[in-house]
Order: sequence, then C-alpha cells, then structure tokens
Amino acid sequence: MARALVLAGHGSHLDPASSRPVHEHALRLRARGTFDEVRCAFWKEEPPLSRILEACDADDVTIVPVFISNGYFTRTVLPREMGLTGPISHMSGKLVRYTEPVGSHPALAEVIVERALEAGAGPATGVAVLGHGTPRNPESERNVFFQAGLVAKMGHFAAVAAVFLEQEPNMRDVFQRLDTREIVMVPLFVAEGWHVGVSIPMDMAIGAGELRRDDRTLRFAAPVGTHPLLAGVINDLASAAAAWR
Amino acid sequence: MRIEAAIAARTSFRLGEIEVRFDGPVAVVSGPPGGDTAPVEVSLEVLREFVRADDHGRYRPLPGARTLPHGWEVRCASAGELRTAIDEVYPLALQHISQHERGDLRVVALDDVLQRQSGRYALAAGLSGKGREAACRALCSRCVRTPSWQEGTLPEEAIPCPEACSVLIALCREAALWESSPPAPSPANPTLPFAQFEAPGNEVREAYLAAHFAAPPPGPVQHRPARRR
Ligand code: SF4
Repeated sequence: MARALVLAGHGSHLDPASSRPVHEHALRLRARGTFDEVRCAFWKEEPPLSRILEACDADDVTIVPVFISNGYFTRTVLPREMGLTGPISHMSGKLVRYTEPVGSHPALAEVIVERALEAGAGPATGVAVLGHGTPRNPESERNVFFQAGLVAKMGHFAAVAAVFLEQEPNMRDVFQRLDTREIVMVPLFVAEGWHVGVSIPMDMAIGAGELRRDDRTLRFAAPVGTHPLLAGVINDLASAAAAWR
Repeated sequence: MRIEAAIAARTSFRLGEIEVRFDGPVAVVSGPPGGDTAPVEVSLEVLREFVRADDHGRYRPLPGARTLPHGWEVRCASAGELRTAIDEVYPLALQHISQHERGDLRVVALDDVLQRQSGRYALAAGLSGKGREAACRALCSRCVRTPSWQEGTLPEEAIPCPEACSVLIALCREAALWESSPPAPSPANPTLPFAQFEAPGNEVREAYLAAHFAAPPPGPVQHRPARRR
C-alpha cells in the first residue's frame, strides 16, 4: 500500500516565513524516503488543508500537525477542513491517520535543549521555554509545561521554567521565574515569524539577541520549529501512527 | 485532457501567467516577459520561494494572483519536473484541471465554506449576497483561477477554483464588518500587503468598497466570461 505523509501547517496571509520551515521539513522527509509522497498543506496558504487528501496518490495517508499546542487548530480547524473523524478516518478509499501535533512529542524536548545549547546555555544557565499561550484556551499551555518539564528532567541546565507570550506566567517576568545569572529563552514556536522575529524582541527590548539587567543576561535562542531535528520528530509521530489499526 | 495532452505531445501552452515551451529534451516554464532583458534562470529548488514575492518584493499569499514576478524561466529535464514546477507556481492547479475535465472535481459552494468557519472567521458567514458578489469581484478578478462555485460556464483555458480560498474567506470576514460600519474609501496603494484588508488603501479592500458602496468600477471585472460548474 503506497503511503503519503502530509505536514499540516498554519501558514500566513502576511508573513512568508510562517510556512517556510514546514516546506523545509518536507524536503528533509522526502530525502529520507520513508514515504512514497510527502506533501504540505496549510490553513492560510496553498495548497489548502481542505483539498490535500484528494491530491494524494497514496491510499494510506498520515497527517502530522506541525503545531505546538493541541488546541483549537488541531482539534477543530484541521479535522473540520480535512473531513477527519478521529485518529483514523476512512475517506474515498483512503485510510487517513491523524497524529498528535509535534508539540506533544517527548522528542521535542531534545530540540529545545539543542536550541538552548546553540544560544550558549550551560549547566549554570536557566532556560525559559517560551510558548504562545492564550487565556481563551487552557489546552494551549499544556504542551509548553510538558516540554519544559521534560527539559528540566534531562538535567542539562540549572533551572527550567515555562513562560508565555499571552498568558501567565508572562515572559516579562522571566527574571523573577528564574534566579540564575544567565537565562536563555527558547521560543516553542514553529516559525521565525512575526512573534519570534519582531514582537517578542520588541516587547522584551532584546537588542542584538541579548538583554542585560544589572549583572544578569537574557539571550534569545532560535525557535524550535526551524531546527532540522524537527523533521525527526515528525517522522517519529508518523512512524508510530503506521502501527495503528 | 488539455494540459496533460500538451505535455505528452510536447506542445507549448499557457497556464495563468506562465508559459511552457519545449526546447529539445527540456521543458521551459517562464513567467511574464520581463521586457528586453533575457530571462533570469531560476532552479526548480528555489522556484517556490522565488514566486512568493512580486516584482516589488511584496509577499504573494495568493499563488493565483496576477502578480507573478517578470522575466524568469525554469528549465525542466522531465515531465515530472515540469509538473513539479507548475505545482510550485499554482499548487494543485493540474489536479483541479484534470478533475474538472473528467467531471469529478468536488465543488463546494461559497455559502458552505463561509458557514463552516469558526473563531475569528465565523463572522464571514454574515456577509450579504451583494457583499459576497463584491468580494468575489474584488479578489477573484485578480486571480488566474476561475470559481467553479459560481454560476456559468468555465472557459476552456480556465484553471478551476473548486472552493473559496482562505484569502477570500478573510476578505468576506472584513467585508462583513464593513457592512455594519462602512469605512471611507482611500486611494489604492499597491505597495500595501496584498491580504491586509483592514489597512485603508489595500487595493483589494478599495476595489471592494468601490464595488459595494459606490457605482461599480468599469473594466473587465464587469464582463467575466460565463462559467459552468
Ligand atoms: S477564491 Fe477566488 S481568489 Fe481564491 S483561489 Fe479561488 S478564484 Fe482565486
């Protein structure tokens, strides 16, 4: 049975950087050759989520949401747009497997560690895992706390905390949440888009990737979603789904 | 099968704003002509990124928008590469053309698309019939695709649009808000982001406001060919 992998992303009407990592991970996954077809589909770009399944030649299709949170998009928008009825759907002769989003996978914690190390974090550093969060949906914080907990257990850093852009604990209070002299903030975001590239550095007044407060420093790492290792996380999710019956 | 037959017979064809010609064993896909200068050769690997910005570097969130950059070409060594190149410029266009020609293109009515929206876009379903027509005129007239979800006959050379795209949904949402408090028109500013409809001067917004709240604008928008499902 031919197998297809669909990377389902958000995309943007205003920011071309939003979908770029999804396409790049698709290229990496095509090169691995595990799937006969690897396609991308987006909520706000083309090809759209609503038309991608019928474009797949394969009759066994696995969809991996390239989203951090398990919330409105993964539970409402993607299933509705793609006509999914659960983890396994049967549609016009196709078997469709729908996995959890990348943000739910424990292997993502290793990508967070990589990003922190790249930004110079060491054993004395405090690492802040920065999620979007929203007070409108309590589900949206869950994976951020989950991943921050995994990173803390790995023991590479002096302390680890979860902070958020749009809810408490807020990223602006990061110096109170972590008491280390050096802090590295790792954005748990898929793309180097508006938030990571513009709004967060502006809100935090981070110039040249670093913020100083008295004798303490805060550095900003690249987002996890653009790290090449994320392709491996997607592959793990898709491979686990292959065993579903 | 118009396009597939042309690919098999290696005869030139146009699709939207691109042209395909055959040069010995190579298929050449070219964008709109760039004047007297020779076209820039773009590799298939970077084509998708290349066509995401117009001549002025403005992001193109609607791949079908008639704003492809001018003066480039891609050389494809096989029919597979040619299909990939076309798909990078106009995602799923080849599938939709073939499905339309076979008679199995799944067409979704605009009202069904708007009614199923939720969250921020739930508002879009409140747009009046007149507003929906004006939104289609303002946006779809700038697109190489032709809505299959409108009444009428699809022209032979059309790229069918089986279902309203996310950009049209976003426009319908803004337009629903404008119906309750109509904004004043502004001069169109084609350097503003294409889909930033809340920005006064956005060209699609201003075309919509002109179509919906004032006398209809002149020009080809008024005389689109009749379409067939
Ligand atoms: S809805 Fe209109 S603008 Fe969008 S793809 Fe279809 S024809 Fe083009």
